[in-house]
Order: sequence, then C-alpha cells, then structure tokens
Amino acid sequence: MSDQKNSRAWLLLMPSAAIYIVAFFLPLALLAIASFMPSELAGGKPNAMLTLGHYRAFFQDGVTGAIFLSTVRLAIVVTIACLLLGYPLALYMRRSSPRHRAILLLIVVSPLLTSVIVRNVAWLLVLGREGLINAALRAAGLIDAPLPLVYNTFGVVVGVTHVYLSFLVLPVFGSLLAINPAIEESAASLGASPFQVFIRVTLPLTLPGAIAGATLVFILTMGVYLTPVIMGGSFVTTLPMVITDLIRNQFEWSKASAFAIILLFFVTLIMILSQQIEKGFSGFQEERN
Amino acid sequence: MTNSSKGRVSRRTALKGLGAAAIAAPAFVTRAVADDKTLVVYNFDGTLGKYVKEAWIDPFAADNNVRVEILTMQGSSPPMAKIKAQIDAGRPDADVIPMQLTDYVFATRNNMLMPIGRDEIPEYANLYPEFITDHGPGLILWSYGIAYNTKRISTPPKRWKDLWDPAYKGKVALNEALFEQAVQMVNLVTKGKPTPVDDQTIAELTKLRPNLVSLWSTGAQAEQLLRTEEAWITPLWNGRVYTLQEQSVPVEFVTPEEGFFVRYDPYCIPRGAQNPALAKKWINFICGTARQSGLAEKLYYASPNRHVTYSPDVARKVVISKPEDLKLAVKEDYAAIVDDLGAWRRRWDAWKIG
Repeated sequence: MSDQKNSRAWLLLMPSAAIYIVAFFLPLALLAIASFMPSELAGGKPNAMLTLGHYRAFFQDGVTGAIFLSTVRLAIVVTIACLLLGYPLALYMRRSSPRHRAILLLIVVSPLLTSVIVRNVAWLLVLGREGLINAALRAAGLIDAPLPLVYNTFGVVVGVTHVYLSFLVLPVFGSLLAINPAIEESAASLGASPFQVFIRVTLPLTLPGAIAGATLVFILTMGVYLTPVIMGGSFVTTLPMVITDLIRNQFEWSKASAFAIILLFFVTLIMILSQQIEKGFSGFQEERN
Repeated sequence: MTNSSKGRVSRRTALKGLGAAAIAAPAFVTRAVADDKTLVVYNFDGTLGKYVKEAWIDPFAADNNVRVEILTMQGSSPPMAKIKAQIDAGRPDADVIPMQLTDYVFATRNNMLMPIGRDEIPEYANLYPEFITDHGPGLILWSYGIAYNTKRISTPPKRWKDLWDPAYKGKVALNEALFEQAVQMVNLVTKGKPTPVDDQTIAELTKLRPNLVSLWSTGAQAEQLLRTEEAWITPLWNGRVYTLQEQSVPVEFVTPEEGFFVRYDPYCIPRGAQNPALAKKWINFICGTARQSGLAEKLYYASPNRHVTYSPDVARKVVISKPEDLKLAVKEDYAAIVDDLGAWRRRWDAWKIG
C-alpha cells in the first residue's frame, strides 16, 4: 500500500521534473561544459583541450573583477533602499483597512505588470534633466541647473528599487500577518512603549521575512541588465552586461559561460548564507523563549 | 526496484524516459521539413525591418507564389551563437541572414556560410564590386557621423573634435552600441587614424567625459536622447537622423572633416540552408534597382547598385551616392576589430567604471 502511494507520488512529480530537467538542469550542464571549452573566436578546427582560462580571466583581466564588485555594491545599495522603504510600507499595510491594504498591494506589485522598458522610459521622463522633477524645481526657483538624477548610479538604484520593492514588501508583510497580535498586546500591557514593542517583539519576529526578502532583492539585482543600460546610460556597468556583450558582440561564448557559472556560484553562496543566518536566528529565538 | 509490469512504471524506467526526452527535445524545435515553397529569412526590427518586409519580402512572396517566414533580430545583429550551433548540427533555421561585417568575419572563419559564385546572382552585374563578398552582397550602406540639434546648436559642427567643445558640457551622447566605432572616432581626433586603441585613446575619452550625458546602447535610445533634448549632439548613423526629421525633431547630420565611417550588411546563406535556390533568387530580387532605390528614398541608406540614382537631397542624406564618396570613408579592418574587440572592450569598461 505504501509502495503504491510512493509510486503515485512519483508519477505526480514527473511532469515538473521533466520540465526542470529539460529547461534547467540540462542547459545548466551544457553551460558548465561550455565554460571549459576554448575560445571559438579564431575559428578553424576546435582545439579539444579543455581550459580554465576563462575562469582565470574573470579574476585576472583587470576589469571584470572590478565590475563584479561594483555589481555587488549596487545590489547592497538596492537591498538597503528596499529595506528602508519596504519595511515601513509593510508595517503600514498591516495596520490598514482591508480596502487600503488591497490598493497598496496593487501599487506595490504594479511595476511587475509593466514592461521593463516602458517603466524605465517613464522614469526618464520624471528624472531626466528636462524631466518633471527638474522642471518643477526650476519653476519653483529652487535650482538653476538641472540635478543629475538619471544616467548614473542614482537613476539605476531608483529604477531597480521601484521594481524589486515588492519582493521585499510581500515576505515582510507575510511575516507581520503571522504575528499573533496578542503577543504585542501582552508586551504593551506589561509596560513596553510602542517603540519597545516594535524593537523587542515585532522586529525580531519579522526578521526571517526581512532576510528572505532582502536575499531575493540582492540576488535579483545581481542579475540586472536593462535598467543600468537605460537609466544608467550604460555608465553603470554590471556583470550581466559584460556577459551579454561577450555573447552578442565578442563571440566569446565559452568565456560568457564561465562568467555566468561564477555568478551562479556566488548567488548560490548568498542563498546558503541567508539560510544559515535565518536558521541561526530562529535557533537563537527558540533558546531565548 | 523491479521493471514495470501490469502498467506500473518503476523509478528507473521513468528516469530513463526523461533523459531520452531531454536529449531528443531539440530535434523537434528546429525547422523540421525542407520545403521548396518556403523561405526563412532573418530581418531587422524597427523601421528598417518594417520597410524590408513591405518592399523586399512581401512583393517577392507574391510574385513567386512562395511563403516567406521572418525571424526578427534584436537590433541589427543576428544571434550568431544560436546560428552557429544550428549550422554545426546541420540544420540552420534560416535560409538568408543579414549580418554585421564583424559577424561576417567570424562566420567565414568558422566556415558557417555557403559560397555564392558571381554567376549565381545575375544582379551582381549591376552592383559595385566593392560590395560583393564571396558569400553574398553587402546591402544597406549606412554612415556614422554627427547628429546635432539645429535649434540648440546654431553653428553646425564640422569635426569630431567639436564633441569636446566645453559649450556642450553635459549635452553630448556617445554610442555604447558598436563602441568600436566610437573609440576609432576618438583616434581620428588624436592620431588621425582609427587604430591602435591605447592609453592615448582612453585619455582623450576621459577628456570628453564632462561633456557626456549618456552612452546609448540602441539607435532608438539615441533618438530618444535627441528627441527629449537630453543630448544635443551625438555620433549617430545617418538613417536614424532622417527618421527623427520626419517626426519634426530639429536635427541634422554631418560627415566630419576627420573622416566618417561606412558599413554595410552582407546578406548570406548559412551552410546547410534548407532552400538555397530560393534564397539566391530572393537575394537577386533585393539587389535589383527598384528595391534598392526604394530603400534610399524611404530610409536614406545608400545602395551598392550602380543604377540607383539619387535626387540632390537624397544624395546628401545617403552620404555615399557614388563610388568616389566611399574613398572619403575611414577604412576599417574588420578582421583586426574582431580580434581586438575583447581588449578594446576591457579598456572601454575600465574607462566607464573610472
């Protein structure tokens, strides 16, 4: 009977397993193999020797490592921006009426419903030197020359934060909803101020959601491409932009594969680290209770 | 675990099936059946792609009672990685591929293209020989010069060096797309010749930095920068400028005194193409005077067809209206560009991140 149940469970898994194997694991394996193949740039009969040269190039070519670090910096800044904007928003949503909550939720997820190009071009109209903000500030006599709000890191951070904010708000909001209000009420009844209740009760209980959301935002930002092109004026260069150029313009597909594998490896490390932090924090909470 | 019996599927059998399906899957997603009446071509996106479809593809399909399937490229470069993989597997999706000259160098080095003899395309007799490659004709001649806002800039720029004018601080855009033209342009200013790209090139780019508002990655981005007046002046390809003029944007195009760049797109047939005969017939069709004249008049791209004549206004806009004009263009070594592009890109990226 138990064997029958196991077989049926296995059969239920087969369709999605098939899709994952064909659409994810198989291409990933091919990507990993390609990353050790020699360059095809010179043409001619391919050299059969596998090479670690593309991996070495990542760390030694004098610029890719720097671009990787600047991509990490961008991801950190966007994550902090999402935390600073998204956490208070989630708190407010928790305290709102169901109707207001639904409207806020729609506003938060609305960037995901529009094309990235449409979204970024709209931001250009707002942040550009001839855009709405600069025009308003000039008209009010507050500035003489336009503020540089776009075609730089600030513009990229605004554009990326706008779309990835929802990935932080939703997990934090979920954590907030999971808190039994009686716990906070008990703390208040024992003399804790609202600030103390937040710091000692609410915040610790929502940390797992915040960590999950922050991890998601960080990982997504590591893969960002179009927004730096449009809103960074390509001055802000990310690792995905380097990989794209290797494929589209330089015919260095093996090198692009190696750089992509390194990025994937780094992102996996971040996920493992995030999981460990969450586990460690949950363990600490249990001990304390 | 035993083998399946009475309809039960074991885990081992299921895994074997999944693996086989995964390996066989690609065979079902490429062009399955050779068909004499179907031609598959890569086409540009945007305004150029729309024109090619209406003037080159649809009339050919109607005249010859054939079906032409279009694979739309992102921008003006075909997906060379995918095309190479298909050619290596013996099953390219397309019969005709327009490509950049750097794509062409890579494709010939990797034996990806079918040679086309001069006698196989009758219209070759009407083309300037400089534009006939061993694998197809170079069509759609486009020039890289300076586009500027005529409302904001009263004295037309005459030289690439004018981009460095402090009067244009924060008002200059530069191309990230085909950045190799940008760095060669900088070399024309500093060295009087397009190469080598070295520390001197980067030093001059650094001097230009205070003037730069943005680097654009697509022609559409460049158009947007000029349209919104975020940029008043930028290197650009001639056809884009006249599209803006038709939208009443006050821009004009000039070919700088230090020299300008001209490129074209070879139309080639991949090795193993399923319908090379029909492909050659189409290539011959689009080389004809009528097709080529229409492109010049509508989008101001010059033609390699010697029988295409231009009105004085169109001749000015297409830049290369006669072979002598080509002698004024800067000679680019595309093989060297392909070999050096990686090193140039690393210098360019290092300059960008400061």
